[in-house]
Amino acid sequence: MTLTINKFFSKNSSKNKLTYLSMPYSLKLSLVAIQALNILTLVTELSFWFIALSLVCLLWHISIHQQYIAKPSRIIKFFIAITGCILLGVSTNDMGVLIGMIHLLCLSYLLKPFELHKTSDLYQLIVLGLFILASSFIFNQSIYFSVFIIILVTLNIAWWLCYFSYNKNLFIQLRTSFKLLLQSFPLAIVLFVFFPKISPFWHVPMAKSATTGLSDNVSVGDISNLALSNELAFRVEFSNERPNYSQMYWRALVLEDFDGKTWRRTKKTKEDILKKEQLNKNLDFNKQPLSYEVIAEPSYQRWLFSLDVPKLEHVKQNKIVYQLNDQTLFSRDKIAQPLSYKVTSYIDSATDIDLTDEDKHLNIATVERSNPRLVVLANNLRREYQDNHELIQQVLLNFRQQNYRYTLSPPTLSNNSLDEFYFDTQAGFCEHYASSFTFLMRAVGIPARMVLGYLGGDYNSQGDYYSIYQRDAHAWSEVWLSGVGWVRIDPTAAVDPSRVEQGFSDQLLFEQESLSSGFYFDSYLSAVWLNKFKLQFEALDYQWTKLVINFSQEKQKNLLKSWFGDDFNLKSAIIISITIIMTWMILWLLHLWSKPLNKTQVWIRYYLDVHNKLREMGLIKKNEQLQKQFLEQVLLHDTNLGQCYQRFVESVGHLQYKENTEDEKVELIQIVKQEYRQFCHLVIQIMKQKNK
Amino acid sequence: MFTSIKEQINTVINRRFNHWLNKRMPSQQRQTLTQKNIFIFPSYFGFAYLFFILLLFILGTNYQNNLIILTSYLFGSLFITAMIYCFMNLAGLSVSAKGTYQGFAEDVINIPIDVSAKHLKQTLSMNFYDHESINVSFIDSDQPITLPVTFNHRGSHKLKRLILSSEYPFAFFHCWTKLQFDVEVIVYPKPLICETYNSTTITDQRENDQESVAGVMQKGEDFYELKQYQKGEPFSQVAWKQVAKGNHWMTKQYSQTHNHSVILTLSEIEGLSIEAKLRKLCYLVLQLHQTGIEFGLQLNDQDTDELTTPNLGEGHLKQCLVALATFNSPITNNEHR
Amino acid sequence: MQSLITKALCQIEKFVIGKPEQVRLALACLLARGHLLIEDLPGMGKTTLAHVLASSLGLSYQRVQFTSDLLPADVIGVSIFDSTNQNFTLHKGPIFNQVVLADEINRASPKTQSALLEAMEENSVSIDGSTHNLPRPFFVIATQNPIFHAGTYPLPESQLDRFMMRISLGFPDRDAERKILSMTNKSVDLTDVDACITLEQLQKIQKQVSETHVSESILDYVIALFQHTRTGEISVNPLSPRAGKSLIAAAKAWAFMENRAHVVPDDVKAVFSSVCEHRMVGKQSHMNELFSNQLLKMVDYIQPFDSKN
Repeated sequence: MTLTINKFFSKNSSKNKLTYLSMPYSLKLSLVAIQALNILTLVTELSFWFIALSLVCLLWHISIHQQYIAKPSRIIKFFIAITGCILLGVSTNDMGVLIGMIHLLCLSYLLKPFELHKTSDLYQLIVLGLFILASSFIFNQSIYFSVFIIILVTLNIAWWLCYFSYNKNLFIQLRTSFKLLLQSFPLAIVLFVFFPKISPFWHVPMAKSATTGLSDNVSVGDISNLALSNELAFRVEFSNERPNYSQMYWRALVLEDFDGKTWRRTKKTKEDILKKEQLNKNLDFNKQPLSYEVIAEPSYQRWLFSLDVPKLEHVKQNKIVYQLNDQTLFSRDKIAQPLSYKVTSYIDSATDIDLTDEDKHLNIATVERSNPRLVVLANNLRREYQDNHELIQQVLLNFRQQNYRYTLSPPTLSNNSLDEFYFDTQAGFCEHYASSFTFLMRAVGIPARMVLGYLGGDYNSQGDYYSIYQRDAHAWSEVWLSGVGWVRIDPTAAVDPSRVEQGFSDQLLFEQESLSSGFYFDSYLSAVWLNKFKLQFEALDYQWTKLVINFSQEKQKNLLKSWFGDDFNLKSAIIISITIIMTWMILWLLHLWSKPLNKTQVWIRYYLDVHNKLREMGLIKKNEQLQKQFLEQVLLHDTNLGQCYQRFVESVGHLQYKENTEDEKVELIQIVKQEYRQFCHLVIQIMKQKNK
Repeated sequence: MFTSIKEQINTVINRRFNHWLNKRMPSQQRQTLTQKNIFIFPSYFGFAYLFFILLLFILGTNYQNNLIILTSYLFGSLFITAMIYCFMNLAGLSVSAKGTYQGFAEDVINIPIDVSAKHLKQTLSMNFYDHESINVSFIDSDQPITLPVTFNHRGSHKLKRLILSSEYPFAFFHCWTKLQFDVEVIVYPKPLICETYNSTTITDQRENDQESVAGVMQKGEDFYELKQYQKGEPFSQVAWKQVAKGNHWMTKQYSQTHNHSVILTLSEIEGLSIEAKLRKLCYLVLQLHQTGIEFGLQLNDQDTDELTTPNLGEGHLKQCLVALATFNSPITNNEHR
Repeated sequence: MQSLITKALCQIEKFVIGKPEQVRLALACLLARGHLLIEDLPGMGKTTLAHVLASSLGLSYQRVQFTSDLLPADVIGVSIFDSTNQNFTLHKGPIFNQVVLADEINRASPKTQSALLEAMEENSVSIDGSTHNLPRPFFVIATQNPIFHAGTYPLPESQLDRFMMRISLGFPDRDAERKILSMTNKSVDLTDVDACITLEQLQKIQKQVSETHVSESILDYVIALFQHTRTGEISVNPLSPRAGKSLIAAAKAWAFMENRAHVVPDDVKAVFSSVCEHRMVGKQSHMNELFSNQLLKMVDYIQPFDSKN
């Protein structure tokens, strides 16, 4: 055995010689193209100097293949490698570890083709390429991107096949490679569904990407900027009932700390996380709750979205998603990839009927110097209205009746002064109104806070879900009334009721279009069929995100439970996945062995086995030998065995060569079986005697 | 010390393995590759690739990234698909070889092998154990292939197992088979040029023969055929009648024209060893055959047999060469190392 | 029925000493309605075998010594003008016997040879335009000297096919030879051999033989054997389907003589060499081994097709 193992472990010189050099020019060129495509999948993460370096390297490869220039000498190669490493080392601090590693990976991938000496170098190159393709999933997981990656994998494998096959035509090999991948997919999917999902082994560096969406400090003007973005924020699927548009206040952040210019979120500690027993307090169970699943897009922030008043569905989810005492949801880690969670919301339930003094104090704190005119107004109001309800109504009435404008392009305010907005410009976006309203309330002495989130959502009828975009970002106020608790008040509704009822008015849409410099696909999707097409695509992407990207431990467990019953755990998952793999292999092996086995009748198998046993005893039946002669041999060896053998052979001969009816056949098979067993016994006895 | 023990263990294991191999895959004239005689095992690269898959899986798990995990499963499943493809690439191939071939030592001897496949087979490497390997880019039907073998020593050699291997499609797996065929190679000694014998003994003989040729002529030995005249032939043999008729110059050939003969004796050849002597004899035999002088070969002093009687012709030459090849020690290597 | 056969065999073996195998083959050939070619040196007992075989089975017997000047008419017969009756009367030749021993067939001219072979094939002869059926059973035993004896006309390969079997008796072993030599003094009288089997019985036996069961796997075995002669693995003349028919007929007869109603591979193996060797005389003669033996070695009798492909 060692001989054979040695044989293929030893490096055979002819096999190790790289035939890459003798490959057709077009294939070498296509390798460069494939490399470029592979790098392209990470292009959004790569720094500019690196992209420039990649282009230089790729052009260099091409010119080597074109034979414009000779292969670089060792010194030059060393120089490039060192430069790359130094540049990397310098910029790692800015990039973070993950991006740094990605750069290193790409660098080695780009420089490898200079160093193709042995076949193993080529293997490394290809595996590096595949690794790059796989790692690009860290940054992008949309279905389109995945399809793109699969196409690239097919291309990479096709090139590889070109190397090993006699046929160097890339297009023909593309077909083979596609077939290969298609045949590999079923097992991969089975593994994906059944192989237990494992928790991370250790903490890994996350990508330091720019945060998107809401931020936890807001000055006036921030949200109107956000409103220009058509980026997806999250998607929601309601499990039964869908709420009205005006009910869909997606709560994300509660800002309680105001310094006169900017609203900030107070620092949250572990104690702010709602405990289990606190969860159900005050919830209004009379109304039908809304349950839904949210899939948040990566924002590289930690806040999540829910309707008022949320309750997380699965306790286990608490590991990843927490609920805070200001009724917002919060993720344990930064959201770097789509995150799905299930929530039930009890709309219009009261919260915090008893507010601590500390909280009360926090929520009426104002910096009086910042907006003195508003403070004066507040004092006047207070004097005029004793009742808090009336006062609030009056303030909202003011917004409605006076000449306030709701606009995406409010005039700039000096020093973010709310006074200036309220009394002079009187034109602003939601945060202007919410901000000044909250300030006014605080000045009056009613505890109030600002809430950031999203309002509304686009319903996708193809996929039966809502998409909430960044442009739906919204700010509103909450005031605390004794005996009632926190009450949501949206001053925007007073200024522009349509914003709250059905979204942007035509005026706003016009503004958005003129303000945004980018090209928006949406605005050109006027044709109905095109729109439908787009909706379908989005629905597909949604399903992809929901089923594949967010196929979590939890979901796997639920799925398997629904298939195999409740007492399903990790162990049985492992057992099932191993069984499936084993059956896969066994079926394949059986397929290989079945052909000869099925064709041979039982008695022939017995016959062959008997002769194998005799062979082991040194009695070899040759093809040309007559049965009679062989029988004599066996008799000479052992008389008993010989007689048994004779009977056996006779019966087999009857079965095989005589004309038998079915009944006779059955009977004969029984006889043959008996004689076979007798024979085996005899053989064992003889062996035992020998050993003694 | 250690290495010698290791070697011993290796030889023992190899002997057992070869015994097993001989039992499992006995010599046959035509052998078809099935799961019974194909071996398959991951290559170095295959193991490296598995490690790469593991790495991907860890990456995916750490980032809780389902797509990376799915990709690692896909690559893992590709590994298994590649195994099946690799096996299928050899399975069904049917190979046959037989016969006895001749050639000189240290010369390339080509052994023809018939290979046929029902389906396309790609990039195979073939060689006889201990011999050079060749690469076959593809086989899609019946295909004759010649495999080069080289032997350093004269004798009658039985070829060891034919090794067929393939790494298609991705070199994850090394798939190979070892088939035993009854192919015999008779290796003649490599000719060694020796001037002395050539110049002295033979020329002497020739002078004597010249006379006898003349004598034969006068006696009017059996007329055999007319041949195109070639420069240097004695005029006495020219068919003047034909020339007179205006035809081409022809010479009359008599059946026993080359009556002169040489008997090469092993003991009379100078040389350091038997092998060297045999090599010289081989050279002489070839020389004599080329010049067309009848010769006999006496290897043992006592015996006189068919070879010793001087004769000419391809058949005689071959017989002589075979005798030289197998003289005294027909080195046969049936055992596998 | 078998007892009759055994009896006949015993009787023949009394005269043909030390050759039980060949005697059995000869008898099998007769039972299978084939013709027999014995190839051997003179004086090995060919004639004795033929004579005893004929008389043991109670068949009429005639021996024809073939010489180079033997004419076809000498074998078949001729119409002669009878002047007394003023018409042609047929003088039947020796071929109108149930057992004909054509001694040294390769001495006769091809013309005469082919006359005999034609009669063997057709089971009838035509003389002067009128067809005459030959008696039944009709069994020709031809003997032939090995071809290297000078002055012979060896049978062409195509005509060898007409004979179901070719056997050669070979030299007897020591004991047998001693027996033969001691017997010569008494001069064996072949005429007082008793017939063991009547004509009717023989015909019955022949019918039974043809009804012996041949299973699919035997056919497969025969086909596999024959295919190996056609693929060029060993350089022989490929075997024809007619050869296959003869082989199966012979195997049936052998099985009958073994007291079996079905054919087993051993029967095929037993007759294979005699039935097929002369039909596939190699393009190049092999040194030691018979082609038929090589073939039998090559083919797995239990799974003729599985083991190879």
